[in-house]
Amino acid sequence: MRSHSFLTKDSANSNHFLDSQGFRVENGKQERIIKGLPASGGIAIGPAYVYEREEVYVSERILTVSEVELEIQLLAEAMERAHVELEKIVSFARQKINEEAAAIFESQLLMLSDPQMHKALEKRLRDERKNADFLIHDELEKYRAIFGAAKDELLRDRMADLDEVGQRIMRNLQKKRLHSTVEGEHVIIAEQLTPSDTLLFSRNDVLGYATDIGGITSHAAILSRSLKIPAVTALHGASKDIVTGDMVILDGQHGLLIVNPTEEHQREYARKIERIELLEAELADLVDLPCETSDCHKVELSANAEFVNELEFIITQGSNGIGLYRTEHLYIAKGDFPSEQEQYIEYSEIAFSMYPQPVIFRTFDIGGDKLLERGVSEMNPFLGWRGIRMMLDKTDIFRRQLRAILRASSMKNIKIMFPMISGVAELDEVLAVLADVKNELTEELVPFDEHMEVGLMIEVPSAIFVADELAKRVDFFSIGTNDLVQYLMAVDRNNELIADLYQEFHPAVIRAVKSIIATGHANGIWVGMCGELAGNPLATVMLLGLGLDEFSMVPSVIPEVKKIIRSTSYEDAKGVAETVLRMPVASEVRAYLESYMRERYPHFMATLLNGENGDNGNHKLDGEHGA
Amino acid sequence: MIERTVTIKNRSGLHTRPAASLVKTAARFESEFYIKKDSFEINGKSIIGVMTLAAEQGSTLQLSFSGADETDMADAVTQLFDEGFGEL
Repeated sequence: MRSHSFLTKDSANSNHFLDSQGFRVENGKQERIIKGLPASGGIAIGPAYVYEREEVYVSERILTVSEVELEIQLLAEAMERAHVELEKIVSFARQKINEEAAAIFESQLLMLSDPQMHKALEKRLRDERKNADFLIHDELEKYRAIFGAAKDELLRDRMADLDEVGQRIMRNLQKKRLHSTVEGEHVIIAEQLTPSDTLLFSRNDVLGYATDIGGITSHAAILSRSLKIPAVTALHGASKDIVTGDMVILDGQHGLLIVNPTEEHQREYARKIERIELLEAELADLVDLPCETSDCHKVELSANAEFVNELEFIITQGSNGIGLYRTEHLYIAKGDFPSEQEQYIEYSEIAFSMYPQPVIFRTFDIGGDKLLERGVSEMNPFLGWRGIRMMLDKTDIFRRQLRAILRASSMKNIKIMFPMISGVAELDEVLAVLADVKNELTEELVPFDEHMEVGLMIEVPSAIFVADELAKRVDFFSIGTNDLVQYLMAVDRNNELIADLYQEFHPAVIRAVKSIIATGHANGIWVGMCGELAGNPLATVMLLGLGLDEFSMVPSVIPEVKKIIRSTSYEDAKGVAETVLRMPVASEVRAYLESYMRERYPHFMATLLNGENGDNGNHKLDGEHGA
Repeated sequence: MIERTVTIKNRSGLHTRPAASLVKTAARFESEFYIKKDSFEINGKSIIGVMTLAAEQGSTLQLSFSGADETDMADAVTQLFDEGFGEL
């Protein structure tokens, strides 16, 4: 899907003209807009720095018999130096970014010490008596043939890692040093950047990365995203025609590189940067403000979470607690169900860290797409033994988890909810186990919150139709839209053939949400939502108007959703919900919500709709002026 | 020699992280370890070899272990595949 085209932009009124190739020329410098792939979001404007890595040249030599042992020795020393370099990079990545980034370079370390490669090199050295750097080069070419032919793009990207390792050994064999540093603020232009270039340049004031070769799944791209450095890749030869000092605009959202931009484009992009910064600043100011509409209707915004180390970030995003704490990772990490004590330690740490804000623990939702017990295979796992169904069959495990959650509830900021409830009998069975576990703890004189709120996820369609009965038995509902949409529409969102039928804005979904909320309210309980729809800014006003009480989402979108809610009136939101409920098809709903949002929040939606959720690079520059 | 057949369960297949944990686990044992996919066989202690397998979710692999600690090694490696390398 790599595309390459030159875009030109017509304009009737200025002192520039289109030259014979259709490029716009202004003040003697020709503007060129080159389209690549968006590798890392954000915009950079500044002078280009064309980075040319010092090529490692290798030539083939035949060694004398006496030189062979020395060459083996020199190779071992070069490998050792390469090892030391890479270890430094691993620890820098760990310290500057995170464990995931460090893992990229750790896998390079494994390549460097690959026993098969060592064996092959040493054998060829002795058999063919050729110089080590040539043999490494030759081995790399062999792998390039294998990896390059792979149909899997991810795999082709991994060749970049292997190349970097090979280059590192060859450079060390030739006793050359590497300098990945650039002075001053520049947009780096290069044929290709290795993962470590991407990391090491970030020590300087680099503005952005533009590369001819690369994919959005490459490790270099992943690292730019973690470093929040805008990047565009797959520019196909663009670097050849750019010289250091050329002014460039790098648009990492749409995958564009504009060389020698017109003044008009420079102004336009300067405004865009300003807008993004303003938005970020505004959002930062929102953290401590309550989440209420302009006419004082209050709702809760909470975070979906699954690891203790996410808590700090959640707190800084201004949430009202955790609306969904997934507990499955305890199983995954251990490969088995964790003990009561292991669970208690984690749950109480979360309760303590978030106190006084509430945390909703969801009991194990294992099975389906998540995991199956070893040795169990099902024809249709999504309709199979998962969630609460499995827990009711494995009551000892279920009881252990309930005990741990209850024990962690003594500070009274914990709630519990059950996944995949399909009807009243099932819920009654669950509540009986819970009551029994509570009795047990009472007898043991273990303190817990006797009034801990109990809720259930509404994600199985049958639950919608008996929601009135379910509501009488619990304190809240949380709508799990991801599964609910899949089950309502009978569509597996991971099946490419039908993925387009997965429509969160389908009228059936919206009506189901409305019905669940209305039934909950009629029975005096609150209703939240913890699926992806809850964190989709396009849906915020509609959900608010439908009466949703709590929105639980990935922490990073909380400020955006809060901003929308704070600048909307509840009355208007109800109007939007009523309008949407009259629409017969999903596309109409989306179009209406998009135009509503564009009208009300123009600068905000321009960023949102063109950002991460938007298209990947199919965007035309012209389309944006009005936005 | 011990032989085992495994299926890759995790969605991303034997990519960077799973390949690294496979090789790291294998390195803890002395026995030889080979992985065969279709007619292609590689050394299971070689990360580059494991990468060239391009084994995706659903692929079936034949594992063979031979050496003093082959039983322990076979168990440890098979467990990684069963657990989907912690990515399920």
